[in-house]
Order: sequence, then C-alpha cells, then structure tokens
Amino acid sequence: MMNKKPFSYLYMSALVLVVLFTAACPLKVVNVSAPDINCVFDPSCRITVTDSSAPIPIPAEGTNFLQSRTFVGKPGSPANGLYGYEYRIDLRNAVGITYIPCISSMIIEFGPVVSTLDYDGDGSSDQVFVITSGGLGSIGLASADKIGNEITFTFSSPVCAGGRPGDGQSTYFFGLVSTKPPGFVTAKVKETTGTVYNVQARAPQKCGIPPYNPSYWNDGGTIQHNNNCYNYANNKRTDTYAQPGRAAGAMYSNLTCTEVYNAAIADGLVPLPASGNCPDGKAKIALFVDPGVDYHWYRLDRGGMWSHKPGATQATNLDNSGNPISNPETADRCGDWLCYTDFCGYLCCCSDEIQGQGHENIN
Amino acid sequence: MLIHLEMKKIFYILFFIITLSILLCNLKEAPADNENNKKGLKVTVLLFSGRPDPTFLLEDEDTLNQLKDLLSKAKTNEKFEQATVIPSILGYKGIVVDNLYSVAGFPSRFAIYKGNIEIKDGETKFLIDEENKIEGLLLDRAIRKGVIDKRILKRMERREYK
Repeated sequence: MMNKKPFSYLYMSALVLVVLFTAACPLKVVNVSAPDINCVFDPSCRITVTDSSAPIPIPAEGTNFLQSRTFVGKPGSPANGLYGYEYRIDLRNAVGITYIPCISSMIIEFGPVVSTLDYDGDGSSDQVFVITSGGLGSIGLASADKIGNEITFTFSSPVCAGGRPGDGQSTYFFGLVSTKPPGFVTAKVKETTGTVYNVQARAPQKCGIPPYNPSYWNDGGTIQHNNNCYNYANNKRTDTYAQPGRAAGAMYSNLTCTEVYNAAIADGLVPLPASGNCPDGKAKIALFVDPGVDYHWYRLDRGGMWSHKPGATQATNLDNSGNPISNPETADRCGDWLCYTDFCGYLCCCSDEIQGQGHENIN
Repeated sequence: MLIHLEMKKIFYILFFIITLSILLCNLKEAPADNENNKKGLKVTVLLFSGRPDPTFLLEDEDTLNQLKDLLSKAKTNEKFEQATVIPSILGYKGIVVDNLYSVAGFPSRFAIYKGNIEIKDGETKFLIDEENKIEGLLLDRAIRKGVIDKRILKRMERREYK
C-alpha cells in the first residue's frame, strides 16, 4: 500500500502536466474601431496592407472567401517592427444550394501572439481585436482560444450564406500581432454541421528542418543551374544564384570569413547560440571560405547528417572523398584548384520542411 | 492647276508618312539586329560553389571549327553509367557549353569533365574526350579570355590541392 503512493503522485503530476499543455488558453479579445486601430501600427494612423483571399469550399454558389490581411508596424508606433494579421470570412455573395450553410469557427496555426499592445486604449494589454465599427462585416467573436500553436476563433453567431446574392453575412475583421512575417498556412473553417474545410490563409511563418531530398534541386535544369550553395543551405529557391547580403543591400566585398558571415547576418540569419542549438525551430547551417576565392555553405538536415550543393551542380550528402558528412568541419572540402580551408562558423536560418520553401529574405 | 497642287500636297504627305514609318520600323528592329549579330557558344567553367562561375562567349571561327571537328570524331562512351559527367564536388567540376545562338554543327548543350562528354540535344548521350583535348582547348581559351582568377591560375600552374 505504501509503495503505491509515489506512483500515484507521479501519475497525478503527469496528468496535471498533460491537462496544462492541452488546456485551451483564452485570449483577451477587445472591440475597436477603424481607423483608430491603425494608430497602433502607424504614427500617421494610415497603414499599407497586403491582402489575399481563398475560397471556402462550402456547398454554396456565388463567391465566398477567407480574407487574410497583413501589415508591418512602422517606426514611432507601438507595434514598430511587428506584423499585424487580420482575417475576415465573407459569405455575403454565397448562395446556399440545398440548404443555407453557416460557419461557426475558424482554427489557424499562429504561434506566439504579441500580448503587450493596447488596442482599445483602456491602458491594459490586449491580444485580439475585432474592428466592430468603421469597417466591413456584422459578426464578431465570442472567443479566441489558444491550444499550443493553434488558435480557435469562435464567432458570436454563425456566419451564414444567403438565399440570394448579397443576402449572406460577413464577419468583422478580427486581428492579432506576431513578431514573425507572414507565410502561407492552411486554416480550418468549421461549418455548423460539423464539416471542416481546409482554406489557404496567411499566418506567421513557421520555421522547420528540411529532410535530405535532393531530387527537388537536381532537376538538371532551372532549379539546379540557378541556385547555389547559399540557396540550398537556406532551403530557398530564388533562381538568382543568391549571394549573402545582396537582398539586404549589404553584399560582401571581399571573400573573407568576416565579410561573408556578416553579409549573411544582414540577410536576417542569426549566429548559433552558445547552446549549439538553433532557436524557434530554425535550421543550422555552416559557412566555409577559400580566402579571396569563394565561399561554401552546408546545411544540417532532419536526421542529423549534413548536405550541400556545390554551385550549379547537384545537391549531395557526400564530401569530396565520397563520404557522408556527419561534421562539415572534418569533411573533405578540397577539390581541384579550390579548397575551403577556413571555417567561419554556424548560423541559424528560418528554413522549411518543404524543399525550396525557406523563409529567409535572400537573393 | 488646282488639281496639280492638290496632287503635290498628297504626294508630300504620303512621302512624309512612308519616311516616318521606315524610320520607326528601323528604330524598333535595331536591338533585334544586334541580338541576331551575336554568335558563338557560351562557355561556363564550373569552379565555384557560391560565386557565379566564369563564362565567356567563344566566337573565334578557328576554335569553333577545331571544336566541331573534335566533337564529330569523339567516340560514344558505352560504359558511362552515371546520370551526368559533371560531379557534385567542390573545386573544378568541368565545363558546360550552351549553344545559345544556334551555331551550326553543335548540340544545344554539352558538358565535359575529365575525359567524358555529355551531349544534350533532345536526348542525352555520352562520348569520350580523347586525351582531354576538348576540355584542354576550352580551358586554354578561358585562360586566354582572362576569365579565370589569377589566384586560381597560380594554383593551376602549381597543380595545387589535387
């Protein structure tokens, strides 16, 4: 009997942890008006937005869509350097075929939400805002709940299509803020019947570690010939033979470790922390230089081995001696007339699990 | 007399319109003519991993004829089993020739590395570069054109690294 107690305590603790991790965390939602909300993002209270929309495949004729709107906080505003995201479900011109479909909620993978901004001007910090005046729509949010990286937005009443074009409904714009720039994700839109639809939306980009899958790069054509080791290490196809620092207007002038390394940092890559692990799901890459002649990058793939793409040739996981690369520092990096002798260091980049879809701004 | 004057007027107007049209047409076609004047083969020496590789346009008639002759005499390499002759390694990895301006007698693209030739002209076939003659000729022309870095030239002379 006495021996069983420690186990029951352990079991209880584990249960508490599981409950804590899976419990929905309600986000603070406030109602705001436009254009006042713009002042959080721009001192002149005028924002420049990027819009995209994707149809929701509900059983309806006419047009319906999920709109994603993004913008960047400008210097001098409380949201300086942060990224604003707004969403709206529009069924105004959707017409039900056999019944009037209605949407009850939307789930999106968003990641960390900035929780330090005051959207309604009451002096306290908020997390989600709904533009209930001065903008489109008529339906707000009942709640916004975060579980892990996913947020479920439940509408205050079902958003319904109409019996004829123009009779349907739209939500208000509802928004939140992230430190990360946008990328494409798949949102889940739930009908009141329980059917869930996948709809393309934009949300803060998610970094990932790519597997070693060279076939994407080794097409023997456009991708292979126009993407170099820097493209491959960042897992980003640009078809421009990307050069460190060029996208940021800070390209290296001399082929030294210091200059190429700093040029990559200007592109947004970050030095590897002392822990040796890249933060936020970022991927680890390594830089070597043949001083005054050329530079070369390797990337650490999912699975723990390294691979690289020597210039316009095929991507490979072998070094110059034909050995798999477990450590780029000890790999054979010397070929005819060139030898990448100088190890410059490791950096972290926002790569992606999908080949060629890295998120760093390189060119 | 009046009719004669009218005819003269019409003649001048027509003359003006035709002259203007010819001028405009010539202006439009000028860049195309320049583009058509381009000839030769684009040669890329695969050296670097990060930096763009050195390239040059091979226009010299004698070299083109020499190259055409060597290619036509090259024997088929039945034993070559890899997908490409260009290796995925660091350092020098061969030469790629693109026939961008449709020079007669050459395939649309071919690549050479250490005795092997890969021809791409619709389908891919592999030939033998006897005694590395084609590769040597193209490397020599690249050096003469001044597209190879001095540091690399020194290493080539010293046979450095490999």
